[in-house]
Amino acid sequence: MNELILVIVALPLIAAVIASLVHEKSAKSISIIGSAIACLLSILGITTGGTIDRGFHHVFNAPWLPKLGLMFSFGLDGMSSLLVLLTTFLTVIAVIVIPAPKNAVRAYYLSILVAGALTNVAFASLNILLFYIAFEAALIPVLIAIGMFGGGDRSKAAIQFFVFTVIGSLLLLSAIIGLRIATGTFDYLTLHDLVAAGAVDPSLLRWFAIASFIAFATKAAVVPLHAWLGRAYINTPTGMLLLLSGAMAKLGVYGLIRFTLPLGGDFAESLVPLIVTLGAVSVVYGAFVAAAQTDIKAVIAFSSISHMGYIVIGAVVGDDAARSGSVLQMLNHGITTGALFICCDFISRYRGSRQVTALGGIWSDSPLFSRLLLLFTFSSVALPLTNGFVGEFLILLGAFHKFPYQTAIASAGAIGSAVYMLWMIQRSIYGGSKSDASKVISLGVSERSVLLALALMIIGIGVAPSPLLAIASDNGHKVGAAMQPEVK
Amino acid sequence: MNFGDIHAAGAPILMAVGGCVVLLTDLASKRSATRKFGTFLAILFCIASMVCSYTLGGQLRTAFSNGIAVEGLVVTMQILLAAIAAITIVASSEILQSFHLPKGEYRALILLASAGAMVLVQSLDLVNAFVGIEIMSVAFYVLAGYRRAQAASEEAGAKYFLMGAFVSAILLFGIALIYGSVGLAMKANGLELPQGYSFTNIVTISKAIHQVPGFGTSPLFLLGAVMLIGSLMFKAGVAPFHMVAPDVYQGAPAPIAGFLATTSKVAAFTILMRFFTILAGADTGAAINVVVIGLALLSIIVGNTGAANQKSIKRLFGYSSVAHGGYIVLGLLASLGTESQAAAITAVTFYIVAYAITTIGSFAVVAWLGKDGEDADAISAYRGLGKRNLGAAITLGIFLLSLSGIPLTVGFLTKLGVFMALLSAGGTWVAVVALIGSAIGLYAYLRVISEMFFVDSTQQETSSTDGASKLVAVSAATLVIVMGVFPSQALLPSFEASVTAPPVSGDEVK
Amino acid sequence: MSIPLNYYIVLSMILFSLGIAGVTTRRNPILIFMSIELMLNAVNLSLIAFGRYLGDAGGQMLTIFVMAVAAAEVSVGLGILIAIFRTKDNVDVDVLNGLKG
Repeated sequence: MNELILVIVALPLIAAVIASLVHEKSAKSISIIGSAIACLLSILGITTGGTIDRGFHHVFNAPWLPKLGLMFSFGLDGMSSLLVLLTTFLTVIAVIVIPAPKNAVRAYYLSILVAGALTNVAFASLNILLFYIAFEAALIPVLIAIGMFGGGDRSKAAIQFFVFTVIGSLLLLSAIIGLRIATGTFDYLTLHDLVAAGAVDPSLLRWFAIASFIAFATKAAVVPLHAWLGRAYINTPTGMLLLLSGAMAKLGVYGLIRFTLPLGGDFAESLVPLIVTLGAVSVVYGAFVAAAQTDIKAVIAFSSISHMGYIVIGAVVGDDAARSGSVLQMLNHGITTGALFICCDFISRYRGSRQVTALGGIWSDSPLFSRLLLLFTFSSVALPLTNGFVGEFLILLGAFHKFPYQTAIASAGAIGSAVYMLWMIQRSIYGGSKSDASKVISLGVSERSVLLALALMIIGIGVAPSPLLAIASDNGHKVGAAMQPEVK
Repeated sequence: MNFGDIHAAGAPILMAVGGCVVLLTDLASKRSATRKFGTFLAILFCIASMVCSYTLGGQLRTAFSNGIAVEGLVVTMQILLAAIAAITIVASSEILQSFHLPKGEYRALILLASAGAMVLVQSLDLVNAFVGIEIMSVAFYVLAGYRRAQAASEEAGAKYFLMGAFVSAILLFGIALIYGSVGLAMKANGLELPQGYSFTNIVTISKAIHQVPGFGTSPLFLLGAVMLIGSLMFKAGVAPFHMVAPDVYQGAPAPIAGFLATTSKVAAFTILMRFFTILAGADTGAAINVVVIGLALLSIIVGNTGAANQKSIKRLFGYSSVAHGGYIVLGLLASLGTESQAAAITAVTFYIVAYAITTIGSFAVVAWLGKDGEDADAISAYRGLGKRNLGAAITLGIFLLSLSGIPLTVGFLTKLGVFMALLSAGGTWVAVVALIGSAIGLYAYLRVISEMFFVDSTQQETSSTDGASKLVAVSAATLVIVMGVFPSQALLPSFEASVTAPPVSGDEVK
Repeated sequence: MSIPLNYYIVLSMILFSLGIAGVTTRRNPILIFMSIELMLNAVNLSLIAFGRYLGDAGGQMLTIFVMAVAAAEVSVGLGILIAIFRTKDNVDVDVLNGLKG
């Protein structure tokens, strides 16, 4: 079963190719079938199996351009398998729930499926150049989706998003090449061993730490590298936004855990206080900016900066509980933010507006939808018994004894954000309808079942997080198990 | 002289003969009858030249009293040059038709320019290099101004000619100084001129550099070398001699612009590569390094910023060619280090080939979308192209992504190769500046993509009939992707030949 | 008493610099072209001097190449300039300003 990840990646791609050839009517069903099978298969990826190499299972190796050191090497550990699952899952619901723009159905599905597949390549890659290629190539479908199907400001949003993220990744490329020249390999596991054994020039590692931090922090939209996020998220079509905010932004945090910290040497360790501080600033900044918005999509987008700030803190503090919480929270954020963006899409489709001031009356018109929306908001503000609580609690718990001030600031920001989110949702769903043109939000069977499934996951993870936490705790630190003693 | 010599120089000879034959056939027969036949004849000579190059194989051989040398690198480049000539002739037949321009002379000029480029590529003696570069340049001046009735084309020709002649004089003075300094140094140190080599031969120069202490830093030689390198860089369109390139590409008809941009780069960079191999590991002080780094970074910055706010797409490609010239020079810079030399030569060769394909394709799209004999030059003409002509938009989009070096296109691998060579030669900060430059360039290319796909327009469907340009553009785009994903299948066989037989260095005469 | 090599080289460098100065300051293409010819002849002078001093025929040979090439350039260049003169009635380089951006 070593080819598992290949199948998971290839299925949506094959579906995308077929969907772009057949008639527009069948494009959707083919896309759903391809991505759904991939999603089911990626559940298998969580279970240990196949060849096992230094903490990774389902390890697969095949040459691509061996002269350049570029190999198809894949491997999964708990963290990456969960993220692959998240990506395939978000792909499926994006295809199911969000209708494609009428004039370019096939191009739309093509972009979503390709973006998902390339993101998965990045998550599962054990070759650092392959990771980079997927990391950057995944931007192209997003660029196309924003530019072709996005909101009013799409052209500017697309260019800004692309230029920002590519500049970050160009730095990463230079550092990766530097590592290759010093060590002669792009193989992650070999590099990891060499770095751990102190066989690589520290000044190179310092450059790697800086460059990769910039690349990953841009992707995860850590303040002050978040500037692309607002315009991009607001203008991205919802289907792609699920992937962009839910899965691809996680590549940033994943990169920090997988690459920056283990391969950055001592200098990366010394960057940790800075990263934690930036994370705390992101939490507060995101909350403040969100509070200034009246567009609910913008509120969700900027609150996402807050959440990512938390996740970044948990990822880097160097505490096992916090890191597991961070991995879990990546999953939670994907589910919750995805659900919120879907709701937001429904609201703007049926009500004709996303402005808080123009909404209202949803509670009485669409009781099920409003209750689900409220639940998703609870999860987003991390109320107990929802999934968000578990993740944030673990992160705070782990981070607090190492960085008390930053953590305190972050918690304060989170509380502010929570109050604002709830107030906004309250204003937009209660009361009477403020617009004459609005229609009642009526959910179809598939839409209803997707939202219910998301709700079930939110409560399920919130009530019984331990199975997922067990998987999330397998997040790469075992790779260096020989070097660093494993904390309980 | 013997048959072996003729065979070694066969490719340019065939092209030159082809040029004369095409010209004479055109004179001797009625216009309408020769139209198809002339194209056929020209293509035939291009193919014959390719075959001739191919049969030489990767073995190093010298001919004409060591005036020329042929090995894998030269064979690769000559085949590439012949292919560019053939493609240009095919792609421009319809545009010439609509401009009512004479075709016979046109084909002859393309063949003669390629013959000059081939002579340049294979020359081991600087005298041959000079003759080759002049054959190429004189044909270029005429081609740039080929559309006489149009002021822009005429102006492009005049500018190109004045700058080109000026630079030729500088090149020549460089050669004269190198000739004198090598001669004087060898005489002063009692060194024998190697048997069968002249003072202007690269092998002799290499001997002087490596055997005469202090020669590499002598002012006469350095002045000559800098003049030689600088003027060859001009021929390749590298800053600060770049002013002409965007003008010429904007003024010349699109297929000719593509031809000028690629042939000049292929030829000039190949001979530079050979000249640099003898400088590798030699003590030439910092002068040459500083000049080369300066030229490379200047080109990258000037080219990318110049491209950023263009209204004309041919000008954009002109500036982009300046920037890409800069990246190629970075690769050449890496070839000055003895350890990174092999990797650098591989990277530069690959870069040149990939750049040629991308550029020919890009200009073919411009010709393809042209209307009534005018190129689709204004970037605003591309607004909403994705809705009107999806195929053309995707094709151009692929080229633009490749030019900006995005993975899964060949542009990424070329940049990767150059940066790998550069970083292993220790040019870290140079690489960082270059990366910043390519980020600026990214914006320029994205702007066109954005115009094509992201902006709605009310423009009407363009009814283009230029099938030849379309064919060229689409096949080039396919190659860009195939080479970007599986370069080993598409190109590596010929390309490895050039790597296993590195260009002649002075080693064998030490 | 023969004239030392240095005199020739210095003279040729002076001529070459005069040529460069002419190219950069003149506005009339014909004069620019004449300056370029001056540069080429400066090169010829140095080539012949070097060749003579080294006792090598290569210098003289290259000079002949240069003369042939210069002749070819003249014919092409004048052709282009005459074509411009026909359309613009003026050959000053200042009128070559249609291409910018």
